[in-house]
Amino acid sequence: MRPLPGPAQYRLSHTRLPEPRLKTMLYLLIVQIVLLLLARRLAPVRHAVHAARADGSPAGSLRGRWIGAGFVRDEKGQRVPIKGKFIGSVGGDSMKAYGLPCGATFVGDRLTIAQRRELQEGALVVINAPAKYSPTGFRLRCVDEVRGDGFVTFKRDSSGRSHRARRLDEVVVKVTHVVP
Amino acid sequence: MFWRSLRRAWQFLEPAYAALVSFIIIFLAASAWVTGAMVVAFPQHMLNLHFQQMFTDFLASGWHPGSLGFLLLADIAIAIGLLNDIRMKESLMIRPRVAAVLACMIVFILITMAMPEYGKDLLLAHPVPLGLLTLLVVAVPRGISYAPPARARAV
Repeated sequence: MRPLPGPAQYRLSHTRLPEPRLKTMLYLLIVQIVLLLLARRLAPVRHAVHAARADGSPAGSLRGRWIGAGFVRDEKGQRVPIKGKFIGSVGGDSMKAYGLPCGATFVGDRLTIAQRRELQEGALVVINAPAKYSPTGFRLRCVDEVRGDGFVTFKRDSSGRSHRARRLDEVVVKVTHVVP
Repeated sequence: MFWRSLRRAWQFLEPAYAALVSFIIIFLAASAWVTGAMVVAFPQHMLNLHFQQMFTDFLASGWHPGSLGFLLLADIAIAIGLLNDIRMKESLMIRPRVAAVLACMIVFILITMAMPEYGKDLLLAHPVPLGLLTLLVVAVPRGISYAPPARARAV
């Protein structure tokens, strides 16, 4: 014969929630979190980009989402267009002297071949070339000169290091806006 | 594939697309914070889905809304004062946002402090919409604190 429930057991059995309702509330909470995750997927992609030097894997994921894209405005108070643009997040301090501190987000235009030939001195660009010590090849550079032989030379970075010339086809993006 | 198509379709709404997506994300995050606070405060009512009873209890006593407001203020004060979250501070210091927070505070005070005193019948007759409105005015400052303003500099 089973013993009668003691006071503690009695209380527990009566405070237990009815299961269907409990499940409904859990479903509601799960739906809320899933909606948040799905809405996050609609935000624009932000690539991790090394500052001038690709020393190792940049902090964070290589392709994240830019949640705050909709709140960005330029100096005139206009929204910054992001459709079809390249969005990057700066990893490292070696482009600080050019107004691109570590952690800043930037928006840039993807360049066509013709546009690459017209790059001016001082233009901030992203090059895409395999990096020895990093899974991403995106690196920021400041253009010095576009040579006639199809190569681009770059200015020294914040730490005074020089960078070798790159082929024009490795220059993929020109930075247009920086969000510090 | 589906999400890629949906995103492509939505991008026709540019430039409102990014703003809409950011707003939805911030709104969902703020509502998740408020839901979490209510689950902690009223586990029995929330888990049993007794929303009418929960909002009646919530609004009838000034203690519950007061503690929710205190929780929000403490949360923001810790982030700004102790953790030196500059972005949250900036996001709450823009004039239109300050005005929005003040408007929310006025609505909050009216519903949670003035109504139990002067409009109890109305409060007891419509606890769910009034309770949801109270939670909304709590969620607005919470959402604003999640959304730092960003000023882009042209290069």
